[in-house]
Amino acid sequence: MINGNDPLIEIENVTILHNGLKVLDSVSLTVSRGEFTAIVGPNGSGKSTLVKAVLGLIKPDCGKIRVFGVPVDQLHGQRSRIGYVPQIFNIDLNFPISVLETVLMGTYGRIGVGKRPKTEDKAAAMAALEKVGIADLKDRPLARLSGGQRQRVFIARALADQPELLVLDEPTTGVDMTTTGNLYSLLRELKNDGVTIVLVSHDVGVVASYIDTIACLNVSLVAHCRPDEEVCSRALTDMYGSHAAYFHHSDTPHIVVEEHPDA
Amino acid sequence: MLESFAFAYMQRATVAGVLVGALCAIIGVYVVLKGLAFIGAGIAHASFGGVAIGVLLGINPIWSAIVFCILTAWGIGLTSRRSYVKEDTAVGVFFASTMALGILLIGLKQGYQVDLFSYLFGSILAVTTQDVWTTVVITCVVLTTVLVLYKDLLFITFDSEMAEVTGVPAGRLYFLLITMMALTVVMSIKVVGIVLVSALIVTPAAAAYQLTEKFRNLMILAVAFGVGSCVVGLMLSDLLGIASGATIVLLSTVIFFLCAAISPQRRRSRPVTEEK
Repeated sequence: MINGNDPLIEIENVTILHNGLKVLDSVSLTVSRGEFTAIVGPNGSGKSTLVKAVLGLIKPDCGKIRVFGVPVDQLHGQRSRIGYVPQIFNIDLNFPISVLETVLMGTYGRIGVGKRPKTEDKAAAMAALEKVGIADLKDRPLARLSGGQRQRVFIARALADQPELLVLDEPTTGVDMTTTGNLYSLLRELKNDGVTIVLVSHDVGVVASYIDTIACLNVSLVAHCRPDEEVCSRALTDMYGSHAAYFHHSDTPHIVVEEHPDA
Repeated sequence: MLESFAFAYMQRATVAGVLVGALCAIIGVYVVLKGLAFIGAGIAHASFGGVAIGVLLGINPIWSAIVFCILTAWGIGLTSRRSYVKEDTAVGVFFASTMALGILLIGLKQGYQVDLFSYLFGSILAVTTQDVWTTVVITCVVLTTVLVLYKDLLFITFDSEMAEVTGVPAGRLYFLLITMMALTVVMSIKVVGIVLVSALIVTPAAAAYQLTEKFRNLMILAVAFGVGSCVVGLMLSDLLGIASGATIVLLSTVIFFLCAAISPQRRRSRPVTEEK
């Protein structure tokens, strides 16, 4: 069942133009509460744009988006219910800031402008750091972390305020396999806690076993389906012009996209 | 040897130097980290237009410059945030046009060029008591704002997009920041002059950035460098009979290169974001 009866994100006929070109073409998509959705598609398919529209960072030229049943531009105080892990290369990685300070920022929206974080906010930030397993690095400057550690910091920041909705934009870019594996088990844990997760990925090497639905995006929505459905692998094949297949080894099936030899 | 400090004008100059040095350094930290140096230079040049309007209308040029610089800062901010053009292009447009407006207006006031040089290159010794009080008030306003909004300004400087997502009014805080920048520029005109203001904003913070990885320490060090440059620069210029504004700016540049040389991180003035 794809459209559950408790929708958390409702995207209705959203069209977004950039310099007169359609980046997104009448996309409609519903994500139910507690669902784990992966948005996949090739570069330039509008994945990040869609996510930014859902977060209210980009205003759609056409269509409506509601999150928690509220139009996204009227979320105001409810924004702190959203956790967001942005693409890492948008950030100045030499910024003079410590790990704990960075994670604490995840609580600033709720604390409010002009107010100081309290002891419990710091405790929440520490708990988030523990959850991603880098509590021992709390005083380390951000500039002195490895790519994987840094990624965990930004995930901890998104978790600091215990979000109901977690949005991750390409969280595995430039991160080693171990970190990627840890990330996916963390996401599974969060899903079990009832967090709604939207994961954006440009490669389809996504662990499929705990994803509920895949939204295949290529400017318009190509397919929205369960990962084991026939329509899904067909959509992936169409989109990438290559063979998309599942590999079921151990208990973590991967979707793998292989380049056509003649492509 | 510094007997001239007994004179009232020298005392006023020192107070102005300390305040402006601190003000520039604090704003400079945000400018360096958020990459706003070119906007700073743009606002500084716009202040020439603002001064000219004041001269022409016969009001205190400081007030007209404040209004004009804030409007220019908002203009640059709006133009680039609405993404009509890139930020540096927006600055480029405002930069020259506001300066041109200034030259045109000054030209209308016949035979007026006395103060012109002092506005362009600073004349810290000509600081009046009223100037000092204006600087005190503006410094207090900026300092209070930075203290109260410490965490929020830090957030939008570090990651404006994330701030917006979590419900922090990043847009309004950005405009507040460039407004404070405009105020800082105008307060600095008498001390170092329109042409040199942007150096006094950027250099102390860039020097401090070489030495620390903590934001709080960065602030404190930058203020120390800014105030130090202003006070020592003033003394040196008095002692050697050389231009005060230029001495202050060159002194802060020397500090910057010293810091860069002893920097444990060997970082450059502005970090390049790691690829991918």
